[in-house]
Amino acid sequence: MELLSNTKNGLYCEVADVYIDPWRKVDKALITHGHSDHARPGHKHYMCHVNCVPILKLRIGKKINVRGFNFGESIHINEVRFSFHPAGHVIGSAQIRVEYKGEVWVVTGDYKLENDQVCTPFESIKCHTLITESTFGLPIYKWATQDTIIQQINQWWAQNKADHKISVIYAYSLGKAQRILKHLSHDIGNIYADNSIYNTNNALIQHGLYKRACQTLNPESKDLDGALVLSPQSSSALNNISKHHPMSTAMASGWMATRNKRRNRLIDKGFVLSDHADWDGLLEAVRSSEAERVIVTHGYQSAFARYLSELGLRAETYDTAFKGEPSLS
Amino acid sequence: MKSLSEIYLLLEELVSFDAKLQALKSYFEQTAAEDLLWSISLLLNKSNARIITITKLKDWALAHAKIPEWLYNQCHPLVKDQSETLALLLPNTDSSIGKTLSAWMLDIEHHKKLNLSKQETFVVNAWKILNSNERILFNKLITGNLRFSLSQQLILHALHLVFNKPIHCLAHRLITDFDAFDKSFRDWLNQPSRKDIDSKPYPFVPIKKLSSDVFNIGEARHWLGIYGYDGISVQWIKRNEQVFIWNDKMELISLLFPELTKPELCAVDKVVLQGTIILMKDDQMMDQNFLTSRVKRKNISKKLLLDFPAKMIINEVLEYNGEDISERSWNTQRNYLEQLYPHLDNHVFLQSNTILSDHWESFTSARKEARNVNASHLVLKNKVKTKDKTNWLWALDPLTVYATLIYVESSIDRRNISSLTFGVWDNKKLIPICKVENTLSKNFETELQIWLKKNTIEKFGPVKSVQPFFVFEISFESITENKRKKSGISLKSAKLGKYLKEMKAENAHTISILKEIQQKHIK
Repeated sequence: MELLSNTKNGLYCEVADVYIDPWRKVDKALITHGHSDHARPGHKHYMCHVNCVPILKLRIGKKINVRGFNFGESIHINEVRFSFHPAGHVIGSAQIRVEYKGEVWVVTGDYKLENDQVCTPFESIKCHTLITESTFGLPIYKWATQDTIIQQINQWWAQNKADHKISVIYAYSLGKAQRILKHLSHDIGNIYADNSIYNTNNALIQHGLYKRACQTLNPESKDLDGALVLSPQSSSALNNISKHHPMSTAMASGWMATRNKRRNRLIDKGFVLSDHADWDGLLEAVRSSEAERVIVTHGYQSAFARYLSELGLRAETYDTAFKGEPSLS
Repeated sequence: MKSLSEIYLLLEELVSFDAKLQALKSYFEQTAAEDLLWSISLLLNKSNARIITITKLKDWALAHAKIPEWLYNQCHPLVKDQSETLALLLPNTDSSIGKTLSAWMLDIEHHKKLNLSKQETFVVNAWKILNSNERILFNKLITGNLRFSLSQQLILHALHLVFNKPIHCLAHRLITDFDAFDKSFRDWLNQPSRKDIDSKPYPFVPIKKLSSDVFNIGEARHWLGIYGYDGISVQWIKRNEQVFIWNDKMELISLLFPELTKPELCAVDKVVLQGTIILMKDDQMMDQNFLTSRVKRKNISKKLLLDFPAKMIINEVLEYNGEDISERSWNTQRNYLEQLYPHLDNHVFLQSNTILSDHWESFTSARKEARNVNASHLVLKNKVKTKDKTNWLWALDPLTVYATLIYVESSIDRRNISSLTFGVWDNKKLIPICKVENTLSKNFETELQIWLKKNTIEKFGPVKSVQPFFVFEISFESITENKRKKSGISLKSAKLGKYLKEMKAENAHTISILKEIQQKHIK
């Protein structure tokens, strides 16, 4: 019997009777982070990192039964020792370490290696078996540094401002929105955010997890000329504004790495900015974990696993109910 | 290479003519003089820098990046472009050295003739100093896959803005084969050329569509009417035994019509004629599709020249014996034209029919007859040259057909209807004849969308096929034969007309009615 197994409800630890990021309703769920493909509604007990608690309450409901733990703090359930460790994905994101009778497994959840200066940076955990994501598990995905991309965004915004256009960036409300907002130049113009981003930011600010505030976008918003708007998706508010103001739209996502994807979206510009590890990042994470066995999930699992096994590692795959990044909602 | 790769990716993102023009303008401004000629030649897809096949390039790239073939096969479908996939797979470089485009092009030319292993070393070393965007361009360039889809007009305008040379001077420099290897840009731009003077066209008089009643533009006796044809509006210039043909977009199109560029077609030198180029077959005028396919061709075969020779219908003479008569009155011009006719080759040059009358009624009846002479509209010109030189295009009354709605296509965001496809009956089956833009009123569209919920037969992505119920009047300019269509015909500029509430779908028109209309207007 394996310490963790892939069941129809999700990743399961039978000894402790606990699930990790389950996608069906269960009794006890350990949650790696607040994105909707990992934190599902309906579980009886939620356990996550302390910083993730306000996010779960905002996204799933105020009344959920949730306990937060610090990084490295041990949780003992039926002789199994669980602990959370930084994953560097978004605020409140964690890897989960599972130890039982000297055997150590690590579930990475979603992660990136670059320090984005918004959330606690990724820490490599030594283990026997590593369960890693592989959203961008192909060698065509290689990220430039955050500074480079932010510089590109600033340039684009300044140019749009000079052309009297509103700059709209489509970005996830949890993660990329905070990252872009924090690092963008303050001097170019006004910054507005869609309601969902505004609410997420407010919840984070209230709990002292994030600092930079911005204005919410509504039909009465003024001084839009040359402003920048962050929004998870095209909205009716944006549509109304676009009728009166010229607009340039962009998307910040790892998928923007290929011209094909940029063309398929109805956007003017694509910025290659991701909260996931790129190809080299994934390989680096596998290498530094010193795991003997790697299980690949969430993404291009079969390609990445085959590549690892050709490198001489024991690699296999788990299928998940969710593929790739969550939809932009 | 860097700025060229940037402009390549930027131009892909831009849509409007103005935006592309601005981008090209700033690109030309920033490009060093030594690279300009190369840039222009590449932008016009004129340089062939192919040294190897993409298959060979792939082998080298995978070996260099240490990527197994199966992994490449996983990546390629996502990127959908071989050069780009390889560019992304290759190891990243931080620095890109400032090697000029002309240096690259010389290097590439040099390696064309060398053996494979030397070529491989050159390519692999190049990858080491190019960033991933530059590598896309480089890979495309050396495998002969680099294509810019820019109009000549766009490049001309951008060059005109930057270097302040008249467009017509730049235009014939662009179409003559320029060799970027042994010419500098300055020489190319400033080469003293007789052609600059000889090829100079007169400004094209703007033509506006007549939207109001014809009586509003004045008295009939001040105007003359000329039948207009679906062809290319041109100026034909012969000066110093050389012929130049310009279209109204200021593109030099002489090379497309070799049968019209022989100097002996006109016995008089220094002549400028204005008119329309059309294609004929055995005295029958071909529709515009033939002309379009001729224009798209790179080489015009002898057979094509024999089967569908080009002819020119002359409307005006603008210069005679070197004398500028473009500003002269219509009568004077007419006299010159009459003098000129005996000196023109009448196999190639055709006279236009003019309508002269003191009453608009004669114009109106001429307009009604237009389709019988294959004309597509009537052009009205002011006989007395005034300051306002606008000509009017008097469109013909559209033809109509009662067609049944068969497909509805949604816009990309699925909120609105973007286009409607109509069909006519052919043996109890509806066959599509045209797709028209949605010009329904907002209320009607909402009603239609509700109706769609119950009456959709099948969905094909954004397209829904619907039960035959709605019959609309479809107006169009003309019918042409089109063997690629199921119905065998296509309607030119089909537009949505009124909704025929009273008419049931089964009583709508059949394909035979359209065939009849088509027969009636072909002599």
